[in-house]
Amino acid sequence: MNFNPGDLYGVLPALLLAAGALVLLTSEVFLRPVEPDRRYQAWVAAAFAFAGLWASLAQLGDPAQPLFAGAAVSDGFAHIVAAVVCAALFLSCIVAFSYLESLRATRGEFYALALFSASGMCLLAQATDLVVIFISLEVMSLAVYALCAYLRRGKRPAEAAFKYFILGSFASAIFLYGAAFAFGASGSTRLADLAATVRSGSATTLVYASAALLAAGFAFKVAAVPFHMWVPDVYDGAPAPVTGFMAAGVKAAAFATLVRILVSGYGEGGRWRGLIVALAYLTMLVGNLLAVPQRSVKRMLAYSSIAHAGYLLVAVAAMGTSAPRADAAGALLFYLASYGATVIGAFAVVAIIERKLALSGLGDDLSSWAGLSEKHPALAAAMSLFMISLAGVPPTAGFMAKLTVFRSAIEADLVPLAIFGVITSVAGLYYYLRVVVYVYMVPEAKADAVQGGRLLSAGLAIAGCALIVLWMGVLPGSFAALAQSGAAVFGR
Amino acid sequence: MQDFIDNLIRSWGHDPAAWPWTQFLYLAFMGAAAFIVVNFAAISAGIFSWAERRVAARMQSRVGPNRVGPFGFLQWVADAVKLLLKEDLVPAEADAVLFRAAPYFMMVGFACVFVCLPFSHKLIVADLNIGIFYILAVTALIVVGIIMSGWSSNSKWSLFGAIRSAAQIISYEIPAGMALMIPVLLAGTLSTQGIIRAQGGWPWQWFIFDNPAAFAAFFIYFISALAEGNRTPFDLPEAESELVSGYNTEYSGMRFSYFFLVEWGNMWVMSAIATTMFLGGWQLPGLSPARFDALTGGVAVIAEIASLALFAFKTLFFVFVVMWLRWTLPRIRVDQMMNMCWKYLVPASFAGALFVAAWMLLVHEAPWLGQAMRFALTAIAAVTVAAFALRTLKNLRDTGDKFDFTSNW
Amino acid sequence: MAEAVLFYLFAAGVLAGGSQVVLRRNPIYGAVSLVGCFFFLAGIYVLLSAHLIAILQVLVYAGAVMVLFVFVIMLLNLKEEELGELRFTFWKVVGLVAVLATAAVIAWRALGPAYPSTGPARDNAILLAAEGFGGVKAVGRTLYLAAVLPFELTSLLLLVAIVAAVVVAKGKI
Repeated sequence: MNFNPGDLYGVLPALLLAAGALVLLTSEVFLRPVEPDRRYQAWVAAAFAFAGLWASLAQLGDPAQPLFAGAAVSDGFAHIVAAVVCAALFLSCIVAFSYLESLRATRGEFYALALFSASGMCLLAQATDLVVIFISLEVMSLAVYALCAYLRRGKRPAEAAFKYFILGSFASAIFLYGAAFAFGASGSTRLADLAATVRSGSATTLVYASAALLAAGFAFKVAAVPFHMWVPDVYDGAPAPVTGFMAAGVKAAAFATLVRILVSGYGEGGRWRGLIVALAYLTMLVGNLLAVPQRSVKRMLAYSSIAHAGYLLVAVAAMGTSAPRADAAGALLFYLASYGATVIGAFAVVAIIERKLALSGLGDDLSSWAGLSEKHPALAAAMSLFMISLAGVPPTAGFMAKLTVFRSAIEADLVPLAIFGVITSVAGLYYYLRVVVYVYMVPEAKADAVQGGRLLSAGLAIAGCALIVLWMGVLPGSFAALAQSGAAVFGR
Repeated sequence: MQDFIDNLIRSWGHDPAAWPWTQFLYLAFMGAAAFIVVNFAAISAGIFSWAERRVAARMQSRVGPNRVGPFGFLQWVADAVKLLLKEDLVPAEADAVLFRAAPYFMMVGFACVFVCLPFSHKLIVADLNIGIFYILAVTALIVVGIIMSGWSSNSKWSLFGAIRSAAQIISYEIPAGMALMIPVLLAGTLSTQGIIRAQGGWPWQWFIFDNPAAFAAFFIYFISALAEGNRTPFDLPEAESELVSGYNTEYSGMRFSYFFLVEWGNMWVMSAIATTMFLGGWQLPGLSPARFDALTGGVAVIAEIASLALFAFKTLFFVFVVMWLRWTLPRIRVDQMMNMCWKYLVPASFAGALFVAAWMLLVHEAPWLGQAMRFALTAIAAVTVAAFALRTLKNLRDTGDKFDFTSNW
Repeated sequence: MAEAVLFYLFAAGVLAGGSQVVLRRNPIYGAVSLVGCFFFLAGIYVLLSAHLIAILQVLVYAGAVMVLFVFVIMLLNLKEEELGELRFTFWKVVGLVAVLATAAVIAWRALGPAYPSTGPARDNAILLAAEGFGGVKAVGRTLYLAAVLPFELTSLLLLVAIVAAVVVAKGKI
């Protein structure tokens, strides 16, 4: 066993992102002490995010191979997830630029932490060793906790970060407990060795206990019911660009790891499917139900994020049977990409509205959205598009994503689950369309909700998201092919 | 030590693996070693308490304790008896359990260090293969004791003293540990005896003169050890003018004496570690460890005693330097103390470790470079010491010694 | 024999220390119990011939981390009244039952014959316990060869933690 420097190429996206963070942190030293100009930081961060995106897409064609003596893997699945994460980071950096500059709150640490967390996410998608999973998880989580507490104006951000930190640490502890059981059962932290133990049928109690605990730890990160309590407060309290990045990136990385642990670690038995199916039912139901009474768009999007975790869990459950496993993995990847684009766009619009409110420390309310279409028709149209996509109405990305997920669920003989998913998404139409109603039909009651300045970059990001949402909805072919090529590692 | 006992059992005509009393003999020897070591620590701390007062007096041109015994040498016995007989007070508002337990934590942390401290070629309780790491680790217990004593006293002075002390010790542990890693790198082992054996008897064979970074590391270690031992100029935790007596303000009697026993005993520990790691330990000039091992009979005993004496001499010299510093330097401020640690010593110690690693690769390629550097550094040090000594002599000659040796001395 | 006696001694110490951490209402006592727990844990490591890990456990956790914990707790200096009343709520009872049930299941499976004495777990464990196990060299080889990725990632994690702490501790932005 020897250290092979070539393995570093396999984790190139994560390395690029971490290097970007170090560049940004170091650059702070050279700023002039009075009124430093920090505008370059967003663009440096975006450049590194783009480099990460490029690196992960460039590696897509390479054959799957283990790295660092089996501690990680370089395969299509990981590369697609890394690409989604990097794209989310790229868009979020542009959104954050306009948000932070207009609030005069740019600091080097913000983009550095975002890059660090994205680096953790990329590694999380590649990890095939429970220790590596845990450390990458913490790299990602610690950075995101701090990002939530970044803009502490009013009480809510501090509360959000504290809740997220305490509950997140608790979830990490549960994960560690499960990892300890898995180690006890298999004598190794590698997922491959765990799979061998599961196949051999020894130490079943420890195996089941570890599966339940590991799944519980990640159910927290993906915001599945009953581990969802933190989501509304955290999404509401964090700065809107961070919330968008969190919803897209953390979810993608956590789902990728959940799939990796369940399929690569416990896959052969497939007994975990029942657990995931139950979680999916609960999550879809509770997420959609609790989103209905929300007056704050941010909180509504938080509950919607829970509901979407439910749909994603349907895809994970579909991976429990071997026949449609690759299809389901492709559906999962497609869903993650489409949800990421939509939710970042939605939170970019929220960020523009929130700017003004952030100074007063208040949360947003539907009334502040009233009549947005009169003064800002483009913003209103974009927000409506994102809401429609989240609801899953054609011709948007959300529709295609839900379609592929439910199709793979039916292939996996999970027909009731698929039907339940369709019903809940129809119910979801109510609260998504309510935003559209406010934006277009309720007359403007208050002063302009948008405070001027630096709208161009935010507008660019929103336009980019809208373009992706429409593209994935109308011409999903190339994206679906990409997702399928990434999911091919699960086809056996 | 196990080998020694095994050989002893064999000489009695038993097989140590089968003989039923082997384990008990081990236990007996462990008990005896612990007894000897703890008493050595306590007695040396007591003698240092007398020595420090005499040194202080000499430096301040006064007399110092001179009533009990010749030159007041038995003063420390009298003090110990007095402290033993004093009432053991526990303040009413104190947390009685922790208050009583804290001195024992300190004593245990301090006494455990002696397990791995070498005294001579053969004299060591246990030559663990992680020796120096073990010493660093058990020293950490002293902090726990200090913190517990400070908090449980329920007094502002004690709490502030404890907080200062904890911050100071934790901070200076890092440069101290990194500086000690340099001899470890050079010797390729963590065992204290192994590190001594990797050096030689002549000064240019000592690790301190091996290369510039090791030379710097010795001073980094020495400064950090002063800070870890709460010695002046780092005695902020006990700053009399600010905190009465720091974390031990509320203590009295025997428990109070434990704190000072640890403080004075620590002088031996830090000096012995410096001797071991940087100054060739017990190595006799011209007698390589391999030849030392091969000695038998009376010669071996003489060599053993000589090595013990040499080690003790080096160590006691540094004990004297510690006292000397205390009565020469003023106390520094808290922020200066922290700045010095984090901004200078920590980066320097890390850079030193990197430098030594690179240096070893370089010397591996060009051994003559290593030799040249050793001799050069030794020569520089010798010249510096000589210049210092000459200057001191000149000062004494010019001004004359104002101290009156005739009365009361 | 001596090993078994020591193991049960240390194990009892770990359990006593650990339970005190949870049950003590005064955080100072909790922290001190945790220090004790770490020491006994180090003892168990020594019994497993992992001397270096045992020393690191004492050096890092008992020596540095716990001192910083106690440091913070001391500065907070909570009074008895501030700790709140001792209450027994429904969820505490549920939690207690869950803890006891989990412990019972684990004990039953671990002590019973179902625990793997053969199979991959044992093979992997034997692979790990190679020559010179627990020494500096063996730990170093493991860290820099088999576990190089997690080892290096830990440095990233620590950096992130430092930056995150600075961001949170900084004045309002």
